[in-house]
Amino acid sequence: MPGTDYELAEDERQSLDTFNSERNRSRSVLFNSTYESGYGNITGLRMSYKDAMDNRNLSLYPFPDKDYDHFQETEEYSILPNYVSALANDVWYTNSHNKHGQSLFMKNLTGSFRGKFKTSALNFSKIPMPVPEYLSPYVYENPFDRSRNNYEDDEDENSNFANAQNGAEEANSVADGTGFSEDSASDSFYDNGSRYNTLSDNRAYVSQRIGNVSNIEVGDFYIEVTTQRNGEDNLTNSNIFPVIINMQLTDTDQTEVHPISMSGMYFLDNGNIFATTRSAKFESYYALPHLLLNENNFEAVKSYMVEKFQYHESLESSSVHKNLTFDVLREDARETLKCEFVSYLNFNPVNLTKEELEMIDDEILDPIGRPTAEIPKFVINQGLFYSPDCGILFEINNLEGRSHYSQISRIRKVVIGVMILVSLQLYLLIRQMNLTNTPPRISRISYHTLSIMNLIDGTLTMILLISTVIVFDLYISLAIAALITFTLSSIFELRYMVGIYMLQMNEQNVDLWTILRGNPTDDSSNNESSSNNGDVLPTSTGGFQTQAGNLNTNTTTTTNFEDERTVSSNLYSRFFFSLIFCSFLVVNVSTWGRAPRFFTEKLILVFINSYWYPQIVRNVIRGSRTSFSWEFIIGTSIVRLLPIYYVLGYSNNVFHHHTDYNFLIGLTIFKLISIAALYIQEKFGPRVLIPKRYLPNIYNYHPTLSLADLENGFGIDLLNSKHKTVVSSNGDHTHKEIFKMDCAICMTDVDIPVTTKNEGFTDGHDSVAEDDRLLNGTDTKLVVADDFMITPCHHIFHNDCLENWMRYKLKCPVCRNPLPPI
Amino acid sequence: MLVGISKGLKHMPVTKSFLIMNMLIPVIASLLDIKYAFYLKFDPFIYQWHQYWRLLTNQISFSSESQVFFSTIILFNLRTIERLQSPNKFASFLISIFLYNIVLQLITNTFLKVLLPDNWNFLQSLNYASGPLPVIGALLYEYSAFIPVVYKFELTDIIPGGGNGEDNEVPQKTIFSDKIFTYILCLQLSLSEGMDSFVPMFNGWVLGFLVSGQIIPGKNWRLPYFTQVRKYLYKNTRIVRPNLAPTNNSQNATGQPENSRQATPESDTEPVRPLATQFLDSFRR
Repeated sequence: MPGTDYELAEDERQSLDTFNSERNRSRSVLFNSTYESGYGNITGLRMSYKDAMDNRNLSLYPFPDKDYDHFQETEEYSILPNYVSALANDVWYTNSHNKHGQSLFMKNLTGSFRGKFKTSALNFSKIPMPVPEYLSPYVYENPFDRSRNNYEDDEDENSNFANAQNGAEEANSVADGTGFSEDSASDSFYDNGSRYNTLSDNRAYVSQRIGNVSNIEVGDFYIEVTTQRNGEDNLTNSNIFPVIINMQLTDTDQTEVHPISMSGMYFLDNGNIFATTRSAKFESYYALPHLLLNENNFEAVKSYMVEKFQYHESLESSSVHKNLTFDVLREDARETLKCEFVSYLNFNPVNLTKEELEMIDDEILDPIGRPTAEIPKFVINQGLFYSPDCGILFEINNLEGRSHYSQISRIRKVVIGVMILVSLQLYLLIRQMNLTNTPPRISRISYHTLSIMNLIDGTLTMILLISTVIVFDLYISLAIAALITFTLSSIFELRYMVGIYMLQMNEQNVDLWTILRGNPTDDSSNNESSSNNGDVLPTSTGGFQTQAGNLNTNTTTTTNFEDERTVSSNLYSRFFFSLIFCSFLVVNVSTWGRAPRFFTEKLILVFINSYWYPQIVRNVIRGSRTSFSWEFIIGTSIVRLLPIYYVLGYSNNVFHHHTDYNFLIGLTIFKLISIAALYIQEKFGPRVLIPKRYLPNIYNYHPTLSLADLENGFGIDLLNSKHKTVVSSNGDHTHKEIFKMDCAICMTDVDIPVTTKNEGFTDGHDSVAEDDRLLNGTDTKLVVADDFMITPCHHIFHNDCLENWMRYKLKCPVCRNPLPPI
Repeated sequence: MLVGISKGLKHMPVTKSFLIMNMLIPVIASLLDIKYAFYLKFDPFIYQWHQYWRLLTNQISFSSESQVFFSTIILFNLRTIERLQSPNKFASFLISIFLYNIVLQLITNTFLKVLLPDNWNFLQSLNYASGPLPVIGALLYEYSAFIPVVYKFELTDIIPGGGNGEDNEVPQKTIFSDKIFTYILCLQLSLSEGMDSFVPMFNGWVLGFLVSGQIIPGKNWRLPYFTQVRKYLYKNTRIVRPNLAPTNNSQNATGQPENSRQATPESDTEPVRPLATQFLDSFRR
């Protein structure tokens, strides 16, 4: 077959041939039809509504007692019940005029509309529309589907069994390839309209079918209308446009979704649209002129269609069924699972003059910046949808919509807004990164804060990339937005995260309590001897041993040190996996029913707005007042809240998301609390909110210690070191000595002044001081560190030297033990 | 192949920002989908719809990628002009060409419409190609007039079968300079949209000739506050003075309508005036 790029099985080829000849036959029926002759012998239109009411047997068509030469728009001849055709006439022919006294309509009605539909409570007879036997094997994708559908859909046990059997039989016959005997098929098929047992029977599972909305009283209605005119400008009738309608019916809970697509005609002179579904059981396209309620419409549309067919045939020199491939057949067969619909829509005329309207139409077609009026709002005045085979009637009223053109420009604005916000975030981040370029500053920043932000941005990248395919008109804008977001998330943020991760790696193997002490190597005895002012670096064995223990844990961490490449590759793979997971989650959630979706949405929103909380915890752990700059905190909060405000707070947003002000206020408060906490931490200290007794002290680099400590813990031979004695002038008991040591950084002397005081200087009676006193007689010699710093690992440096050093590394220059930051 | 005085764009702030804008504006325009704002056709935009702003926007941005690409290369090659003059003079020249071209466009359009025979449709309703084509045309004139040739090369027998095939015939030599490459690029740019792009670029060439030849005023006009703004923007950059030839008489330094380029040390009387000035001076005096 021309146009088919794969080999067909023998039975498939036969079916396709039948399909093609059937189409050609239907077409000739259309070509030869007159208004009086009625629909003719076209699949799905052989029985009128009256025939269905009388329970006539379809296999006996044409019914001998019926007159087929005097078609009228009554239920005797038409598939529409009298009630429906009267309604349709109302919809179409109660036109209003615009203020200029004319009925003018846009040529290009491409747009989307949202509203409610109301299902009629009336019960209509269902016109039987069996699938032609030669097509029934292709209705389901595979035999399993078919039987599953039967089991699920049928409530009646017997018919269920019968169907299952039938399905099995058919599956066999398909497998045989030749199992189609015409006789048996026609026997089971055309036997009796009320006893269809095959798959093709509509009634067995009619309530479960797509399009069957009889159990939804009022539901949400979404419709996309596309008027098109490709290469048919030279046809005589310039007031008829082909139109494609895609609609989606959902119940208010959004648990059921019925997508239906139709095609039809748009009449420019009165703003009416007729559209109908089309499938293998309802070849309505070939009877379209007859479904247009009156003879005038019939004549106009029939001549238009004939001309169009001939035009297309003249274009395609080859055979008429060039376009009919097996895919068309399969598609046609699958469509039979849905309810068939015919629809009558009427648009409101626009309030513009003819010239203005023409200009707008031209501008939409070819935008060059004409001084046009604003594109008028599209309003579907009334609409009626009737399903002959499911017996459903529903109506829509006053549906406001937007043209595709203005919708796209609205989405473009949103995309550009996203671009601006993301660029702003990028700018803020780069400034923040420049501010925190030193290890001590980076180590204050919470890794999790950034990872939440990174997750949001990464997911945004994926969503933008996916939408480039969906909103194809905005391909460039979306792609550039995705590029910027990608730069932000996976280049800058991730680089920053790698840096933070590297610096905080030494905390990995240490328990939380030790981290809470400000630093793993922080002096542990501070905690035991809190009566000791917490400032005295203990000398004796107990304190030092704990210290040694801590040193051990640290050395183990340092041995596990990973290099930057491993870390970044780990983080990148983690990032991309979570990215894929998140994108799937987002896409999946968007298809859920109303209640669970809203709940999950709120959960996600709360999570993605909680990014300052890890930083608060980090501040507490680290004991640091400042982390991010305030510019970054405020800027980021605003940048990341604005889109949520748009979606949840602006009722006219492009996502058609509902507004939820209470949640929005709650979310804002949630975020403000975290910012306030950060502010309090900066103002009053990071641990001010937590009771003191739960916390250890932060290490003090300028401890007061006795001379004995200096000898025990530091291994300095005091007698051999150079020192001079200064006898202080004030007080009789005070006496000062200055020892000198080398600072390992600048290799010059550090002055260590040692003050000797008489006993009784401390009011506390701690054992350590007691011991010292015993050792050194009645005097206690004290070292007060002012202009030098003592590390937890008992090394002494100048203030300036060590502080400078710590801007680059948080490790002791002598023994490489981690240092608590200042 | 293409020779410049320096490799980068150091000390050429005007060319630099011009290049950036030349690439950035089309991107932003296509993002916002407002490319049509650069279209200009007198009928209907000006005559029917009175969209006079199009006269200004028309010269701002190119509408196709290839034009942006070629114009970027050309402008980069023409950056020597900014070194020869000064950023201030260069910017002033660009602006004056931009403004003059608006007037010239109106004149050209009227001229083409009124004077040409009716069947010359392709010239009568020009769909002026958008982009700074006139400015590039004017710069091209300055380039050809003032920028010295760096090297020359000759090609023999570029026209195959030009000679009559005899052995003793001297091979035909054609001498090219290094400027030919820039000219080829300009030719490509000017013909990218046929007459629609050729006319604006030719207009620019004419304007470049008129302004730098001082036939119409504008050569000595400077953008006000240019230096102040530049000082403010580039606090750390040194402003480079143009490398002027030494002038003998103090008259030139005070900004007399003389071309200092022509002021050679040998001529101790009046420096040689350009031909056009001589021509015009005969009417002035």
